[in-house]
Amino acid sequence: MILEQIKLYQFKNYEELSLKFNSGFNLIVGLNGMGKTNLLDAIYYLSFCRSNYQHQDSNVVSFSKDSFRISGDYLTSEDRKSSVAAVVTARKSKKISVNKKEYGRLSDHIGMIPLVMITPDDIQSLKEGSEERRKLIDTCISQFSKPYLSALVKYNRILKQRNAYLKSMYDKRNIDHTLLDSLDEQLLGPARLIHEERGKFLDLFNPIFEEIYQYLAKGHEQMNCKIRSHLDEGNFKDILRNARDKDIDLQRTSVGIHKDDLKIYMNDRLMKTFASQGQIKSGILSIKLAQYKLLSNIHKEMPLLLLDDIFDKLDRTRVEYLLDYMLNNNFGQTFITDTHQLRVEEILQKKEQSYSKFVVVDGSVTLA
Amino acid sequence: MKYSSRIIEDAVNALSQLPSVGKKSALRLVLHLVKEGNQVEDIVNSLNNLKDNLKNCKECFNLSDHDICAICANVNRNKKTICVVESIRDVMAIEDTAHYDGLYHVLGGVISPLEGIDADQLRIEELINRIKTNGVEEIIMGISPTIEGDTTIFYLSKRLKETPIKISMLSRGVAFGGDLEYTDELTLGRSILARVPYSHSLAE
Ligand SMILES: [Zn+2]
Repeated sequence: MILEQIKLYQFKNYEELSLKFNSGFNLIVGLNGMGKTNLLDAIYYLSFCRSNYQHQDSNVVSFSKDSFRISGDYLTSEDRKSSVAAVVTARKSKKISVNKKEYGRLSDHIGMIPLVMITPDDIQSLKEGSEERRKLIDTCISQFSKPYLSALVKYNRILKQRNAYLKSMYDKRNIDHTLLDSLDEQLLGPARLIHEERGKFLDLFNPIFEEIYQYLAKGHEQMNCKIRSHLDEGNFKDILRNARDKDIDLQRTSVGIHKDDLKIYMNDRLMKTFASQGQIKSGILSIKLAQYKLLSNIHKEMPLLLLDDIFDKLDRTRVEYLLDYMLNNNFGQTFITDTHQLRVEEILQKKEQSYSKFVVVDGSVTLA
Repeated sequence: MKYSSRIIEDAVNALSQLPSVGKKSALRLVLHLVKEGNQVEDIVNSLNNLKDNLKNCKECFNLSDHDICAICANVNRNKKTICVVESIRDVMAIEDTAHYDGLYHVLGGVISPLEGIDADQLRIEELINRIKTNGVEEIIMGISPTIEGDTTIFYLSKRLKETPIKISMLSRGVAFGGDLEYTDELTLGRSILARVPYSHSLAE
C-alpha cells in the first residue's frame, strides 16, 4: 500500500494541510512540539480508526474546534486507487469510509491499510504491564486475521458483562450461578480461537524476530517470545469454574486470555530481568520490525512503516543497521520523524535512496 | 422562540417531550389543533384510554385490552409452541409474517449486566412457570443474535435443561443480523418455518 496524499482539516495542530508523499522514504523533521508526531498519528488514524496517542477523539480535534477530517489517497498492490476518509463531528460521531462508502462497524476497516508504527513508548512496554505487550501482538494479528479481531471484540464484550455482573453483586448470597455459567460458556469459543492464533503467530514470528535481532545487534543471541496463558494450564471451562469464588471476591475476572503475558527471552533468560538498555532497545525494535516483516509476508498489501522519534534513543551505528535491514528486506513506504535535520538524510543519501524531506514548523509543513 | 401565549407555550413544551418531535413540529401540531378544536377531544380520550386501560397480557406480556391478549385467547392458535422475544415490537414483526400460529412470551429485554439488566429483571420465572403448567412442547428463541441475545439464550436453555421441552432457534442461515423488527417479512417468515433445534445451531 502506498499513501500518495493526505489531507487534514482541524486535526490536532493542523488547521488545514495537504501533502503528497514519496513512495519510498518520507523524512519529517522539526523541533519537538511542532507537529511531527501529529502527522504520523493522522496516518495511523486512517488505518486503525483511532489515534495512537489519545483515547478520546475530542482530544484529537484542533484547540477550540469541535470536528476534524482526515483523508488519504492510497495506491494498492494492484495499482488501484483507494480513498479513505475519517470524519469526527461535534456530536462525537465517527465515520470511516472507503471510496465514499461508509463502514457499518469500524472494526471492518482494520487490516485494510496495514501499518506498523514504532514509538519511544514501545521501548518502555517491555518493562511495563502485560497489557502493553498483549497490544503488541493484538494489533499485528488483527490486521491479517478477521476471525481473530472479531473473537477479540466478542471476548472483551462478554468479559465486560461478566465483570459488570461481578461488580453488581454486593449481596453474595443471591449470586445467579446460571448467569455466570452462561457468560463463561460464551467466553470459551473466542478464548480458544485467540489462544490458538496467538500460538500460531509466535511460531511464525520467532524465527524472524531472532534473525532481525542478530542483524541489529550483530550477535548470535537466541531470541524468542513465549506467551504465558492460563489456557495452557488445562480446560478453560474448569479454570473459570475453579476461579469463580475468587472472582466473586475480587469482583472481576481473574483468569483468561486477557491476562496472557508475552515473555521475551534472550538465550533462554527473561530479557527484562538482566538485559542492558541497549539490548532492550534492540529487542523491542526487532519485535516491531519482525511484526512488519511477518505482516508483509501474510498480507497482500505491503504495510506502511511509521518510525516516530526513535532515533534519539539509538546510536548512529544502530540507526544505520536498522536502515540497512529495511533496505535489504524490501520494506515498503516508510515515514520517519526526527528532531535532527540531517542524521537520517545523510545515511539515505549515502545509500542512494529516493526520499522526500518535510520540515515541520508550528503546524505548517514545507517540502525541503 | 417567543410565544405570545403561555398556553401555547405549555402545549408546545408538552408535545416536544415526545421522541422525534422538536419544538418546531410541536408548534405546527399545536397550531393545527387550535384550528381543529374538535380533534383535541378525540385525541385526549384515546390517549387517556391508552394510559388507563391498556395492559400487559397476564400470560405472554404482550400489550392487550384485556387481561389475556387476543393471541393467547385465540382458540385456533397452537398452544404447545411459545416464541420467546425481547419486546412487543418483535411480536408485531413476527405476526406480520403470518407464518406463525403459536404463542409468544415477551421477556422485556435481554440480559446485560452492563446496563443493569440481570436475569431477574426479565420475565424469565414467568416463562418457566408457563412451560411447567401449560403443557408447552416447544419454545422458539426469537432473540436477536447479539452477544447479549446469546447470553440470554444460553441462560434460558440452562434453566430449561431439567424440562423435556424442545428448544429451537430461528435459522440464522437467512440473513438477519440485527433486530427482528428490521428484518423483512419474507426473511423472518422463512426463518421461523426453517427453525433449527438449539444444539445444532450451537455447533455452527
Ligand atoms: Zn398473551
